[in-house]
Amino acid sequence: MKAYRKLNKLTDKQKLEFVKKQISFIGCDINLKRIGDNNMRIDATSNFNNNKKAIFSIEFGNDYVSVPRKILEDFAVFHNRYNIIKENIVPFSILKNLPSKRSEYYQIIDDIKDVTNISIYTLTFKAIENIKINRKTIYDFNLNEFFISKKNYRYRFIKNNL
Amino acid sequence: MLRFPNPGSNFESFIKVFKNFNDKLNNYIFNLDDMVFVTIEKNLTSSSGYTGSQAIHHSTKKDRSRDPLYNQLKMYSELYRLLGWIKSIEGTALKFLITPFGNEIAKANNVLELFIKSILCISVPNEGIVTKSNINLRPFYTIFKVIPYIENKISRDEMILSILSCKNDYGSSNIELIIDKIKNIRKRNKIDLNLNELSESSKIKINTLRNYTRVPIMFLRDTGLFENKSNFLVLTKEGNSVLNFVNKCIDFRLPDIKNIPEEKFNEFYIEIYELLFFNRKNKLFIDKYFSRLKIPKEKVILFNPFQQLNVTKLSNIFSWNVNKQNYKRDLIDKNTSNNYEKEIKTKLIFNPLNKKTNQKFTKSIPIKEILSAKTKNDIILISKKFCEDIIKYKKENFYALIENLFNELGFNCLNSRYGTNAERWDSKILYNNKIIPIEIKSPTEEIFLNIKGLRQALENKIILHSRYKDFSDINHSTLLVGFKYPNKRSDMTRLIQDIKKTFDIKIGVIDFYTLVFSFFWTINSSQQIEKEQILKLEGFLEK
Repeated sequence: MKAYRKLNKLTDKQKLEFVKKQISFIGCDINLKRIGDNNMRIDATSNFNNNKKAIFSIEFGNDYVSVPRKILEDFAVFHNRYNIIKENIVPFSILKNLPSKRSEYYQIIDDIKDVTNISIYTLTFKAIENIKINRKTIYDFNLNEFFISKKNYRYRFIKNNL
Repeated sequence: MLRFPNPGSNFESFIKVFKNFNDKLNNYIFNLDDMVFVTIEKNLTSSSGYTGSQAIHHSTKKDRSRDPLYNQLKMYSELYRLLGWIKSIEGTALKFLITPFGNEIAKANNVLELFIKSILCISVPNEGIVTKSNINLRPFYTIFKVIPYIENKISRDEMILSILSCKNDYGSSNIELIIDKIKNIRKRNKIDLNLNELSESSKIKINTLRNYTRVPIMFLRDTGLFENKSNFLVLTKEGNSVLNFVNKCIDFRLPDIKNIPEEKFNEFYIEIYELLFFNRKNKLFIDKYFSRLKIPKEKVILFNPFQQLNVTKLSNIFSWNVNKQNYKRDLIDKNTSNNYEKEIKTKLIFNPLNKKTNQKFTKSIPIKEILSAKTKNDIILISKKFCEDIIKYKKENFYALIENLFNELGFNCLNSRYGTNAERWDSKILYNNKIIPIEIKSPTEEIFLNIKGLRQALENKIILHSRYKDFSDINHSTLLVGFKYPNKRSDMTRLIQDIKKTFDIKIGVIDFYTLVFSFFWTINSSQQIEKEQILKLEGFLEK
């Protein structure tokens, strides 16, 4: 996790490249948004399980609640503009760590699931690192393990706290 | 002037796009449209905010020179041709084949090494690419030859003035001239003046001259050979080892090869290619040719037949089958039309007044002027004047004013208490036991409404519908109110439609001026606003 602590010293591009590398270790070869491409709002995309597409929204700071908002926008754009059926879009929220238990983030994730039936999966840097050091990929898990919400605000596959 | 096109300044994409060509097009003759198709299919490029067939649809123009995707792939093709990865077939410049060398590159584990050797071998003139200018140039090799004499660093503008615009860099005397030129540029410190002179004499704008360096800089930087330091490209450790390699190389160009009096050219080409790129040494060959050419045996001949020779010769030398079928694209649905409205807006509708509301207004209303106004234009002017000093309003005052305006227009509007997390919307309209959430952006937060506001308006509706289902009607809109509409509404318009089609949620957008005008007009004309149009608003409300 030392590498993650040094993230603050990197430029935005370097940070994204770093996250890209980490995610590639757990089995997703992601394409980052080109810097300056205002048409493409989604931070990163990748193929997922052959026939699906994953979209990633990455937050390096503490503005956790802005991530689900961004994902909803990305989801709508991906579905309507790129003609990808909703069931084939897998949204991931990439956070440096899980928000505190009292954060509104979890409730919003539940609200979105309730109203739109979209599950936003949360991956923290520590979760990614944990999957990586156990030599697993994201495909070794049931995606529900990453559905972090008000009812379930911890990863079950990580024993210690996050 | 040697011009490098710039399809994108990212080395990783540059290689990815080519690998995809190799996967899809290796066994075919293909054209630029095929290249666009396979690139789009893999989502490796986008156009006008779209990927996939929509990107092709939005990009395709009758005038191909204005077609962004076609042009981008044309630029890629020019660079891949310079590197010898693809070749134009005989007689037509815009039909291509992937070369056996390109195929090696796409499959290689040591792409970087092969790529660096490829760029060192870029030289003009060659048989593969016709250039209008009469130049004899090997730019990347020359950069490495001069770099130790210019403090191991070179700037973008120095590259333009001394290398890309050089007419002949062949031979040690020309290399010395380039070194002197760069030293002089640094000494005189009048690089802008020199650039202006070059720009005038070549009739190319300075920005365009600089754009030609984007790709060479990307090649040098992203391969790790140079790094950016205070406006200079500075040689790195990796660059230094390439410099050592360059010093071992013999700069062979097309005219040199042609001057060799030897009938067995094919053998010569194959062996120098194998030696340079794959380090496969043929002792017999080295003994035979190197001594004849008076080249020391430890040297490497820097010449790539795939970058220098035409397709017919290459086919003959490398027994390369060039009689291939044309690539057949899967049919793209040409009827895929842009199903976006250019702008979604609703014109204000007023009805006869039933009941007058008497709210206490937080800002004095120019009531006399409104009542004495004779035309709609007068009301427009009064409204505009009223809006002028609102630009300084902070959150609290602006929110209060919006609440007042909605109430004056006959709605039951109530602002949320500051800091109440359960009510994430800034204000709400209560209507028949239902809530219409309002997201407000004060001018001190942002003068022009934007995408961020739309995101929040969408979130408001989702939270309302999830947590207070009984008070939410999906047919009602979620509103975004702010100081001004953006000058260009297309981004917001498209997103509003994306959201409607994906989540079936309507977002209505209203600016302060439209609200003020509605209010003043209701006073002047003794009418009231048609409420339904606000409650079910989708897109922008217009006076």
